Amino acid sequence: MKKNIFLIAVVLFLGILACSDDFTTNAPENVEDLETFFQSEENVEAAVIGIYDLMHLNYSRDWHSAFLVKLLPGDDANAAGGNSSDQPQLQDIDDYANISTANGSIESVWNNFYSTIALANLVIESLNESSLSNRDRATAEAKFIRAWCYFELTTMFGDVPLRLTLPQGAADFGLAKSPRADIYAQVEADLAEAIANLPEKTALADEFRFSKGAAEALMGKVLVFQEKYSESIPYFESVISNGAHDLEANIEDVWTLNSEFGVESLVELGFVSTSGRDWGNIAWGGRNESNLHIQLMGPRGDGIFDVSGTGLLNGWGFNLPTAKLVAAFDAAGDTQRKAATLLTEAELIAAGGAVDPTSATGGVIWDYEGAIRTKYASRAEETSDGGVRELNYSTNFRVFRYAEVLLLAAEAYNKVGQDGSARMELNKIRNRAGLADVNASLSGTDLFEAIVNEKFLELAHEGQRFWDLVRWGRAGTELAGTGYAPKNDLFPIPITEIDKNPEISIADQNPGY
Amino acid sequence: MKNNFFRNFFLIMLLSSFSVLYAQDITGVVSDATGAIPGVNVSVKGTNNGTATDFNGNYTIKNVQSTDILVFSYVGYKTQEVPVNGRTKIDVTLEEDQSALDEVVVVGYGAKKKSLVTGAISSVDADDIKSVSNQRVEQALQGRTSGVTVSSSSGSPGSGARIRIRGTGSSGTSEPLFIVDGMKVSNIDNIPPSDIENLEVLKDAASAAIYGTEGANGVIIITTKSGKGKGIKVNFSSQLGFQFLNSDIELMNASQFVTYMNEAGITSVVDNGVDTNWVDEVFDTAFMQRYDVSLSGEAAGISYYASIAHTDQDGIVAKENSSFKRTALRINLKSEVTKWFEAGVSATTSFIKRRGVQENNDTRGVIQNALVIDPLTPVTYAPGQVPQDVIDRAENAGVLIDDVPFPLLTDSNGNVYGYPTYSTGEVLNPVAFGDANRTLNTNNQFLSTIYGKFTILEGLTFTSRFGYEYGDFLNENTVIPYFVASEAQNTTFTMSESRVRTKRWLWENFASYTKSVGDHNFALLAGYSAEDFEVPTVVSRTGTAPYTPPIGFDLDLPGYTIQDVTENIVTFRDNLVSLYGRLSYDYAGKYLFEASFRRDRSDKFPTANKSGNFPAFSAGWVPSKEDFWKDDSFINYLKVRGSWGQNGNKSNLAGNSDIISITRNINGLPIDYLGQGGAQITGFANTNLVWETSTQTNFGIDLRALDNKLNFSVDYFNKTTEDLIVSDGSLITPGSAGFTSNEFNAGTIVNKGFEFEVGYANNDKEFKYQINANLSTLDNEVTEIQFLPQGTSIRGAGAPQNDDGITRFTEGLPAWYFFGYQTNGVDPATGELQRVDTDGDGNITNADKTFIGSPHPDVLFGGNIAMQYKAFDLNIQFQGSLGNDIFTSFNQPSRPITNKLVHYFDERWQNPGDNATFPSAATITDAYDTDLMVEDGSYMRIKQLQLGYTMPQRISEKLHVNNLRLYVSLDDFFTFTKFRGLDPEIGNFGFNDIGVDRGYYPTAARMIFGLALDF
Repeated sequence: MKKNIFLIAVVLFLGILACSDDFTTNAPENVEDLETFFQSEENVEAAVIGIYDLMHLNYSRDWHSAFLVKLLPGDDANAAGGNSSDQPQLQDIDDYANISTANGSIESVWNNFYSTIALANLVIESLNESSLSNRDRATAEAKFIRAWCYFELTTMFGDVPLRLTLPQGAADFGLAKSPRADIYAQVEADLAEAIANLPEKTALADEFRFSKGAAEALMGKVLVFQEKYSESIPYFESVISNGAHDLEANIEDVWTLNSEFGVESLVELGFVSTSGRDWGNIAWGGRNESNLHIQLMGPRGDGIFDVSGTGLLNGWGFNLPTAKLVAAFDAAGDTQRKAATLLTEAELIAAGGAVDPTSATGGVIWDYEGAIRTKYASRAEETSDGGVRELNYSTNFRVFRYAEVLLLAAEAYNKVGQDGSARMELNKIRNRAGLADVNASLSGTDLFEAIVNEKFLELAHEGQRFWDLVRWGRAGTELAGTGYAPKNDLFPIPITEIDKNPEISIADQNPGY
Repeated sequence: MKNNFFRNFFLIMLLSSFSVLYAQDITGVVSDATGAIPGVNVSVKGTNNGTATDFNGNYTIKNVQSTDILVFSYVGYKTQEVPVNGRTKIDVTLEEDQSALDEVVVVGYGAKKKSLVTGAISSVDADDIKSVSNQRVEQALQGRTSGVTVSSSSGSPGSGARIRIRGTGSSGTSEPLFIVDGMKVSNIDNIPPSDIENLEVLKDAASAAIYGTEGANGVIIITTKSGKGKGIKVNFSSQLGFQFLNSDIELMNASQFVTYMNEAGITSVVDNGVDTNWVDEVFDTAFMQRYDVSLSGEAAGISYYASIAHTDQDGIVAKENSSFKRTALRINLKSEVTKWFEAGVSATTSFIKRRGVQENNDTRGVIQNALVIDPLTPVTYAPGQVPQDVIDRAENAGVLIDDVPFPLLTDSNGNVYGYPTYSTGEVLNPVAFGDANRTLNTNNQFLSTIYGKFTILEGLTFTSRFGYEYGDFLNENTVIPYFVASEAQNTTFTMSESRVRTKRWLWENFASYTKSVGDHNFALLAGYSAEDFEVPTVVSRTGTAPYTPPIGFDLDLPGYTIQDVTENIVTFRDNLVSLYGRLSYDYAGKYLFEASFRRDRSDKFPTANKSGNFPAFSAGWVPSKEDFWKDDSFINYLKVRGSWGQNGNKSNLAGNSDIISITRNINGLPIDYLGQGGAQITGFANTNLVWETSTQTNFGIDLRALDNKLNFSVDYFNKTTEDLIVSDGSLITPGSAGFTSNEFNAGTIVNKGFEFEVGYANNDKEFKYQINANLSTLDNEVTEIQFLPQGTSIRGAGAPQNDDGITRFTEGLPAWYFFGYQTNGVDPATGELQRVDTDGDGNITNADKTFIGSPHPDVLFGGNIAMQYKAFDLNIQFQGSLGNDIFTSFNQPSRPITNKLVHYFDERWQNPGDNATFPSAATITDAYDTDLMVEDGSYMRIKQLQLGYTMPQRISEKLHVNNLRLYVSLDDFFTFTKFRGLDPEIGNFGFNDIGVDRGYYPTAARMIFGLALDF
């Protein structure tokens, strides 16, 4: 008996060793193998949707969106919010004050542009040798988005690391900055390929996808930013002459549900009101299908802004218009576009609303200069009928639209001396806003001034203004007295990048930070 | 072949018996003061001849010569040597071994005499913890042994504590390994302290190395009670107690608050006649009760222990909304079926219901909100006094609940809770919040081990042990609708439920062989084990409804919008196969040596690194046993010992770190863009991930002196933890890489220090007393960081208004030290805090942030004093720490109109020329990322002050009671500290936010009335 027990023990002992290889292997679950993933058209589409989704996340992420980070340095918008220390990282950007190298919003935007780029790189790399039918289009989409992200990055940060392949592991994490010229060159190269292989807007499989026209428009914009005006014109002309692109007929429709993915849309990020978000399941900092920013940017409630009669709902009060913007509308005699952009206190009261500063922290409504915003406003009809309405706005962000192309084209024409064409494009914008043509004799720098002013009004609260002022060399004058300093032309490279990227040191930080 | 081997082996055994063939048989009974003892080893000295007593204590030993000496030995008793002197019947009475150094300690896969131990092991036995009022075992350990930190991250009833043995090692998990009756378990919250016979803490590597992979953070071995002796013993004990807050925390009152806010420029804050002390309002006296009954003994050859333990404790916050109820049943059985086969089973089932409130959150939660809400808000409004704007706010929420405008939060009497008069943001009335947010955790756990032990040859046993652990954890959370402000709202009725199971089996097979040749004693152990662990998620879903459902928790009611992520949650799996062995040797108990080895293979590592080898060696010398040692020496016993060993840690790795995969889900939700499914990669592969290894050297001295009345031991340890595993790959991945790395090995931490334990007992006279004290020093330093460029740090925990994070991991500094600006007082001219320009560049930028404090204590200490005079006994137990800092992050809310501790007011700068320690009210926000937020966390707490009365035997005998003790106890009642927050003992113990106080549920002081009855 004892012998048998011992024998059993020995057998068990050897047996357990023999099977230990299988026993100690647990394959990953709920995921798919990268090696074989890109072998089907369907999977390629899923990866491309993944890129769109990352871009969508970046422009709408809770308190750290590219939307606000690009917008707040401009003189069209104030950070506002609950009080002067509400989301201090956004207040800092708005006020140019103490913009820390650890600014959470700037870091998030940097990181999310690069994650969008990384997934685009993966798609591009994986399809390099592929014979799948959607290879060229998917590659073109990925290259367009990669170009978009690098253009945004270099605009905001100057020289940045140029990653064109997916790191395989920590050994690949270090990468030095590339000069802005190299970034531009890569952006142009990517866009050229995107233009060659993206479908026309009319032929898009899904209305939200980016078209050839979007790529041409972006190419033009990138060239204008490099002051390569004459090179940019053919791209603009191609977009403008394409019947698929036009301005929305009514200015009040441009930023609302009525014109989603419409004729004016080039790069638009879509949101829905049907995902049933509530306080229990909202993904702070994560992926939401609804637009939290609309709640974030709605007129502050808590007894401060009574929005009765406006069709708006209350929100958390960020992104209020500046008095300068209100004055510019009034100076231009612009009423229609002004109404689509903002509502002065008098207009709010006339509509049936009210303003009560005593309900605000310290009795002063922070960053309020006499107007609330109606562009990208918290419209009751743009959120769910029932449920948790404050978390289910469906308002899309139009981050690149045809109106901007016309203004860029006008600028390029003006810079190369084709003022007639410049006036023509400018007047399209003015007419749509209910304004008369500019004086037909307006030309040269006067015409340029008119374009600058028109763009201020047309693209107010859309995140273009500051970066235009910087490239025009006008930030110093337009932003005088706001705390702006030349170092603010670029954001700091996030300290987390410098700490963790062995090829970038503190000496590579942008000047002044 | 094998048969031949055994045949020969038995032949040799047989031959060796011939030499005593003509000798006689001897019989007898072995007993102790209470009766017969089964299982006593009886052997003929200097031979292999031996046997053991049966269940009635009888033995028969054959072939004994009349001049032989019989040796009777049994664990826990003094070994007796009895010369045969020609007798054939020898009855022996064994004496229980009172001497501490001959105690037997449980070590991995066996037991060992304490006198032979060469590692660093501390023991706590049933007597030490029988009257504790803490319901969790780990808290019972607090302050009782050196080198062990027990820190609770919440004082709420039933909440777990974290145990750190010899400092923080791993960055992933620094939890020790828990072994209950030989079985590795996930947690020990289901074990009532009353069921514990003995608890050993294996501190040094050599002791823990037999557990290999998971021994790096030390091992805690729990042995539950078993039946002893004939007949039946019944134990009943009970505690009834009251709990209350015992903190000196003081917040600004209404008039101070108004002044402070006005000075900060917020002139809208005016005195409204309300002055609420929120600490008083939130905390309340709560009741607790506990009943334990056990039956034990031996019948029909089976020793048994059966118990039922029930605990019911309300919380000092939100009463039954933060409560703990546990019922645990246990049965332990053991039987020697035949002379060569022993079998045992132990099984426990427990039912836990625990309710908790939200705490440890920067912006929300009952405790945090109590510390920041303005004192001008009433707890409830008097009937008819609800301000119109409160009513308007709710109505303006624009949502109908049950088809009527938004309900106001009311208490059980229907009074409307006060809505913050001035505080904005996420701040809620904390009393209301304790009501509105309800969490119930229902944990049903089952643990069972069964073993068979075969005695194959004299001294050779083979044990096969199978353990199975099953847990069912259900979390149900309910938030009722409210609208307090735009940032403090929940506009639907919200429920969520999550149910996970834990299933683990562990099968261990090991053989042990002991052999003495003359004074040479050998013990050999070899074994292997296999373990399978999985944590499937059964349900994970949330639901919301625009109406108040009927009482009860049911997500399947009509009208619920359900989000179910169950199928996207991956089952956690863990598989481990191990081989282990140990050789122990001693020469006459004088020279001690031990070596052990373990090889583990885990699914958590890349193929090439799956296996880890963990060796250990230790040695000791007992000079007091040498001939030159004088018997009348002042020192009765002296042992010097040293050990070296390596342990591993696989942390809580998810596995497959070497693979880049594609996922279609993020956080359990599908990647979806406008109705189309997306995909992305999971993370960057790390093919080089290796076991975290801690190498520890230990030197120690044990001595007894003054007629064994004085015990003393000292240990020095140096524990170097290399290749620390960190799960959060983002800590080393630059943003430009796009995604984050999988788990990685971050660097090296060294923990070193001394540990002292001293005890003095005098039981000679009627007044008996015993004093034990322990003290440990700890020095923690990060000595290497991998992956990151030279000179940079890993960023740790965040806090509001601190973009740089408030903790860091930097070479040359303690792990996760506090990070921020050093300050140099308040500028008398401006009232602003002066931050130190540490890099000397003339500007204050975030590059000036530096070390501002360490969460690691320099010294830990604890002890107890026990006194007895006639029927009365008094026990004082204390513990504390010195030199650790606490980051009071609750003082730095993200909203401007929030209350603060009163010293922010008392010590503030007011006028030019003031020499103040705190800045002006207007500039206090600049202090939030400075050393002003760091406070000294040193403290000493009297954990227990207990007075007991044991009924004299002459009375208890008449009542047919063996023992009756009544006691009254003040637990956690007296605290000595400079810390100005709620509780210095409670604190964060996450891997990167140790010592960060975001508003914790403090430890309740307790007054306990207890009774222990044996019959």
